[in-house]
Amino acid sequence: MRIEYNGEILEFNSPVSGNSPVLELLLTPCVTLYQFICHNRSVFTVDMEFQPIIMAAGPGSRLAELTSKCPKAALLIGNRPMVWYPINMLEKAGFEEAIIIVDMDGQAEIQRVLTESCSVKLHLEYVTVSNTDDGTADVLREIKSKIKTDLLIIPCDLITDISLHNIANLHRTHDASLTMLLSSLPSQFYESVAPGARSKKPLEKDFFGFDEKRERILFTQSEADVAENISVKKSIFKKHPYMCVKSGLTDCHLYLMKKWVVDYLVENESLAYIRTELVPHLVRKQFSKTKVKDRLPQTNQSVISENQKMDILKFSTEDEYAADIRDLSSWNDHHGDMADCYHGDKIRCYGYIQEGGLCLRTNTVSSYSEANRQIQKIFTHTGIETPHLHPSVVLQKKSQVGADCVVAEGTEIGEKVSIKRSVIGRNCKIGDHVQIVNSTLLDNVIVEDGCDIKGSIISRKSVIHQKCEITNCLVGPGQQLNTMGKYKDEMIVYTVDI
Amino acid sequence: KKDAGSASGGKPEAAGANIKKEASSKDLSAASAVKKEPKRVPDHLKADDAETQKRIAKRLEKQRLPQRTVAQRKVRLFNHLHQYEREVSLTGSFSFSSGGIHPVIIKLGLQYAEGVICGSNARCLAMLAAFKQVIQDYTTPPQKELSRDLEATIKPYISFLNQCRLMSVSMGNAVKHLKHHITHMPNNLKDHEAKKKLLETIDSYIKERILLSAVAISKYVQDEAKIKDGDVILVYSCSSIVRKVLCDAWNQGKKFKVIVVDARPKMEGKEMLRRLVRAGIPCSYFMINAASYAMQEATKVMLGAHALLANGCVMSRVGTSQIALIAKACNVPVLVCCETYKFCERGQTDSFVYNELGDPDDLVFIGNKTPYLNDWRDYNSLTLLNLVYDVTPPEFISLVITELGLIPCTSVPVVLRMKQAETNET
Repeated sequence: MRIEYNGEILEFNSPVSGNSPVLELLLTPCVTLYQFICHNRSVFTVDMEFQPIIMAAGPGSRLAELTSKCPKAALLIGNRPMVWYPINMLEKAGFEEAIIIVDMDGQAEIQRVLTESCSVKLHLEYVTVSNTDDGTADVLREIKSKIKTDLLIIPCDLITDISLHNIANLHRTHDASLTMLLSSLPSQFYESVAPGARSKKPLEKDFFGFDEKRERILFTQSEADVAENISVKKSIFKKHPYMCVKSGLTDCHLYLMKKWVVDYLVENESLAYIRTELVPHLVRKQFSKTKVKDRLPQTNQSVISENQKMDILKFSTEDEYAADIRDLSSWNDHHGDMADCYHGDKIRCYGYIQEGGLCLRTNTVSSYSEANRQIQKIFTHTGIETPHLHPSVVLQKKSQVGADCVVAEGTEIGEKVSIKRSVIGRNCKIGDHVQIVNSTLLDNVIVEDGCDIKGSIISRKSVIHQKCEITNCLVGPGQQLNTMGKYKDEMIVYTVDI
Repeated sequence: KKDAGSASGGKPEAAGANIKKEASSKDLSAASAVKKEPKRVPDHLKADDAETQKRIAKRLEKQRLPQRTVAQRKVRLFNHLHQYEREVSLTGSFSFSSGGIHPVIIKLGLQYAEGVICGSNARCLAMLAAFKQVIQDYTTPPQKELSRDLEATIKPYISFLNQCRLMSVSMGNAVKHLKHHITHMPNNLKDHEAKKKLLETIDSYIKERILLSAVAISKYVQDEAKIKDGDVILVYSCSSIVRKVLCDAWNQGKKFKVIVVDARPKMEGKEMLRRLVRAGIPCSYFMINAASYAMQEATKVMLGAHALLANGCVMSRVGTSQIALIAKACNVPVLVCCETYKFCERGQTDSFVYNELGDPDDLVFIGNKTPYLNDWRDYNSLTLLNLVYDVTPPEFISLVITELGLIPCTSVPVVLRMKQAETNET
């Protein structure tokens, strides 16, 4: 009996040479079941270059009020879950499979929202984190057995129209150990005031130091870690006398990483987070030299135990002929000193700076609300075609819905309603004489007559009674706002049940 | 046969494009009439023939490979050669799904296009290392034979590498050798045994014909005392084999000086200079316009080669023929170091009929001065030409040092015949 599985041919020799229909009868369903299981298990073939991992288990600490009842990845932007945008980007790039890391509680919600709002062609493998205190690097350590090739790590809150092959080309050309996506901050997203907050929270900047070609990253430091000065090692300056320091770039948390980094993470358990710990560690280790064992054990002393910390350079293995090729090739990435190509550095970290285009992370309340306000712009950039008014929406006469809004299905809108720069979720009921400007209404919100909502976020199943005036507020899920209430710059969230 | 064809293709080319078209159309009709006769002018030399280009475009589409944008303005004399505009992304049309071009090959193609891997030996070695990886990852589909299917798998990879950068002669010979072994693989072997055999073939090719040949050439130079104490050796641009020879000779204790001559736009001489100085050799550095002044000091000239042609000409980096000419005029002997795997059956008498056209924008940068040619595209009458290779006639070359010994330039067909006999035996 021959079975074809994934390109390999397995042959079973029948144990009994003669006819044994009973045995075959027993074997065939088992074999077909085995085949069924094998084919439906997610198997990464060797030809895949990058294995995408979507990090959707984050607690969403900066979106705390909104994520109390639902995971951050399932929050709706333009009536699609936040995690849908990176999934869409992966689908467009041609990926067929991805691993998505979720929290145990959040998995059901994310799955429900994804299937409800849109069709996802990408085959997602859900992996739950066992310990909620785990950092992103700890998660990589946990799923080490599933990682077969180089990684593409994407956060769930990244909305971008970058074509992945640009950053992949930079990674491939220089055979980099780590490549990250950097983008200049779009000012309007971060300068707007968050609903519910009384003042602007200052945005944390990151400092990046590049070499003269603006590709290789020489150092990285976030503003929080910098007291007054940024210090750079003299040895780095000796190797790279020309350094370009940029402070206006954000790290989009999209990383292309070589497989050996995961092996190193397994060995070195002190690194818990990718952005705050692993990335600066790798950038620093670019310039580390191989440790020379200078002290041999004395002959008359007994060596009880030696603390062998695995040197990172032992993990960064190259192909067998890579050193020969570099030696034979007449190319050098820098001129003016006696050093070899790349200064002989085996670990190389590169950054791809995206000029123009759209790239933003919706991990704070202000960027989340601004993303909803600019949803049509996002749709044009990412090539999504959604009618701004869903065909099933009931719109009474004399009501105006701006072209830059998105209204989802099942919503009923009353008379003389004016909606501008807003996103309205599914099955909402909006009464008459309502004004909604610059706001986000999630699913199943009821807004009664005469209300005036400006610059706010209203979460699911809330009821806004008649003639409310809400300016710049954040209304949590299931809230009820009194008639004729006036709310300004407030956060009306779920109060603890006693 | 081929050299007569390319020579005749060269002469009408100089006269005008129309005559070339007639000759090529005659060739095509002749080819269709007698099907067995090989094409006199290969496809990649017919960039101005619309029919050939359409055929090539269809083939690329079938293989799902990107088509590079053809350069807007080419020098009319070189219309038959391909020149591409520098693209934002070569791999834009590739999806990340499995089952397309193998990722190792994509990486290799990008490194060729960016110039990260540059130099005949380096490119060939990188390509063979990539093919090793491809063969390792390859599994024969059911109902198919490895000998046929593997060749069909490799074909689009070679087209892609060609699209990224024109294949060098060394790469072409290596691919021919590999294909020969694939097609002659006995069918009764199991998959992993056949793959193991192929990997061993590639390994032995790399070891014998690239790496150990360099060692052998260096040894010949040392044994025949081609570098003596007090010599002043002039080298041009960067050649891995010449560098190895000089460094080995220096390490043996010979005392000599080196003059490195360099030329724009690649300025590879700087890299040669860096490596020689790091080895401890005293060097001088000249630009090619001062080559005749430098030649008065030189006692020998040592050149590397991209390929050695069947009529004895040496094809090498553009500027080599000038160096050889000046050396001949100053009575300085010229030694060419070349491994035998770079020997080619082609014959050329000029540098026009077959060459590589580099990116013309490389010529714009002139260091600290203002780039006058920045807006060369705005002037309709101005076209930039960036040739990569040129051909040195055998009269200027005194000696060729190969791993088989010291041979004159004109012995190339003999070596080729010998190697052919060897491969036919195996």
